[in-house]
Amino acid sequence: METPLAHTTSQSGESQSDSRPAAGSEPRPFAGVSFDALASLDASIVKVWRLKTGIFLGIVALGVLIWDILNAFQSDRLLPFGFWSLIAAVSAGSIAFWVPSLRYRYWGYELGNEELLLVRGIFNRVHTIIPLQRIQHLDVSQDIFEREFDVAKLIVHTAGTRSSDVILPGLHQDVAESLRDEMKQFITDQAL
Amino acid sequence: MEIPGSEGKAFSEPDGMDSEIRTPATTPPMEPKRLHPLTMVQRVIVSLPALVFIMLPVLRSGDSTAWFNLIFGAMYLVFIVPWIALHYLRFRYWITSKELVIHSGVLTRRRRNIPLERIQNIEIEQAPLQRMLGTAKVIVYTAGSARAEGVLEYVSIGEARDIRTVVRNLQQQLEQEETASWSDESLSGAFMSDETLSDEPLSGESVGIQASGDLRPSKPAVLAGELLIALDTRRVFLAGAFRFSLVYLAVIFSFLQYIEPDPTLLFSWLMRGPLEPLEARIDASPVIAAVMGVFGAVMLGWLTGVLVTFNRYHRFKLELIGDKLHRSHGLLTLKEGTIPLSRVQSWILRTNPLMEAFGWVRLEVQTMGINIDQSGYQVAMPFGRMEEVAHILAAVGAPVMPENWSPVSRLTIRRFLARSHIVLLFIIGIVQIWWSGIWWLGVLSPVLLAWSFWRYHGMRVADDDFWVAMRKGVIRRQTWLVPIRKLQTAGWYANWFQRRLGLASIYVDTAGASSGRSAELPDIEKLTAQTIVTRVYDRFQSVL
Repeated sequence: METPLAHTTSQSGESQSDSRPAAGSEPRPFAGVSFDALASLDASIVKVWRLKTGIFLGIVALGVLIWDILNAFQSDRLLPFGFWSLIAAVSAGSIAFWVPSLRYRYWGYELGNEELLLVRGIFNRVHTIIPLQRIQHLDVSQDIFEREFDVAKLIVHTAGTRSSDVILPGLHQDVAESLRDEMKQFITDQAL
Repeated sequence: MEIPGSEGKAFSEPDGMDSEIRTPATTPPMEPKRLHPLTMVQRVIVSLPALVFIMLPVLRSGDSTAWFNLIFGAMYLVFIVPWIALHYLRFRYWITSKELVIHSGVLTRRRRNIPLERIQNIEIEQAPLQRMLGTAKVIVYTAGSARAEGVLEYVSIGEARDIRTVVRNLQQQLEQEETASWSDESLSGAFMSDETLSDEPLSGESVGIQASGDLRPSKPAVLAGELLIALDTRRVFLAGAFRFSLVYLAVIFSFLQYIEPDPTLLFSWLMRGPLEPLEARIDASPVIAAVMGVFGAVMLGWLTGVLVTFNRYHRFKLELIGDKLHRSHGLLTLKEGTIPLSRVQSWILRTNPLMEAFGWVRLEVQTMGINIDQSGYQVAMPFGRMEEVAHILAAVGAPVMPENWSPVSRLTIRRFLARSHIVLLFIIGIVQIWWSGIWWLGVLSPVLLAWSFWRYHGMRVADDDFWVAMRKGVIRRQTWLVPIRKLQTAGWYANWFQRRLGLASIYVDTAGASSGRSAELPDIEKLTAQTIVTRVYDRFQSVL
């Protein structure tokens, strides 16, 4: 989905790994970051997003339907009854169907040696590098829809402003928890 | 403009140093203290305008039927004055070896304990009234919150400086103790990112900035400051001359709204006496009136700029004391404050085309958790030369600015032109429904063309082992200098249009940057953007 990066960055990788305190369970040498091997989200998140968007847009479409009914007996009506309701229903349905799957398609993450990499966005595609050292705290949260499908979101807090709360949605609950534990492990290892 | 030199001198006399020398290195914890008794007088004086405002209808017309206002006035006397006295009586503060304690409150009692090691900045402020009475306001900022954590309104100026010195000395003692038992304590702070990281030894060039930090324990408790920059009167005047302020508009409008004068009467009053023939001329020719109006507004804006700058930055002085930048300035209201170097997230150089033509810049620092009213940005040097910036950077141990500036993609010109013309055509299209003459707006097109080239020319990026630097802006030019080890997150992003052209924007996020103003630069060639960000991140890893 993305062109591979030019790796001009790993020239000093070897010397760095020597000076770096051994991170216990992760002896791999640090050699630059790459957005090549990204993991996808859990596929069930598409259903969750469809459900949420569907409910929201359904309410909007319902509003249009009510408006249509109220104006049903207006004499100067140009368009047949139900025209706008139909348009609203069709567009709500298609948005609720397509947008979540596009969102899913363009979401990717990878937990590197010392950083979390995120790629997201349909129109505006954002690549983020979050050094694990900069993490202030971690949350795993689930709303009622996510609970139904066993997915969870991982919220990573940093001290920065632009992306102080980075949300990684749509992970299987076990994956979210193991990711969190891995990051927590890294941070505690660093500290000791 | 005349400068009341004697007044300014009273503040900048070396009695600040005196008090520092006077205070022994190991200060015994203080006894609970009250504020300066004159606090009550000052509070009453400060609240008087409110009373006048309440009573205004009564005062203006002698109208004793304004019951509402009279009742309010009476309530003021019955409640506010005793309140001020009670507040004074209730207020206690003292410094123990570990914390600053403030007990306050009349109905709701508040006991606030501020741990000394959390105190980042103690600001001393003296408005004209306080200067007359020899008192000062002490504002304590901590690492945790961006708001002032503790405010002492008011103590005597000597006491204010003593508080600062005592806190500084005690903080040093605490740090020494901590270094003595250098164990889990300082390491488990990995979560607290910045605090800890800045105390760790660093590799390469970045050692310089830490040198002061490493020396801290062995340093004597009394520190002599190294003067980094002091602006003389001429320089401050010049700084004002390059500044254009529209503050006066607000003042005039609110004043006019309040007294509601008749504009023609006011005008003929202004034009009385020898200027009378001029009045007839102006009445006759609207062109002269317009030109004079614009000229007057510009002159007024310029003059206000000079006055505002003068008032704020008179006797501006920046010193390096230990690992803190110490700043004092002000003509009417004097301000003294500190910026701990460990809290500095990035350095920002600001200029505009006019200032740049004469080689002047303004240096700001973006800090974390200090002074929300400046939204995390503090002026380190209001007006100066690039050499002086370099001097300041060198003094705090930062390496020189990177020189390998590279431009962004030329496609940014095209994108900007397209974007601005879509907006322009949209406006023309809408307005011409009512007024077809709006086509005149089309003359903006070549202006936009020139602007887009100029904008492209100003956009640069550079990075080396220590810095990531980004430059941008047409009228308000800014150069961001972000030390790589202060990075929080980094990345690049590209919207659909940018992706079609193979471009991306890069950003480097630091702690406490406000969302609108952060180090980011659009329209870099995608591969270059990726290379820069990954390279910066690599260095970040090797620095830590």
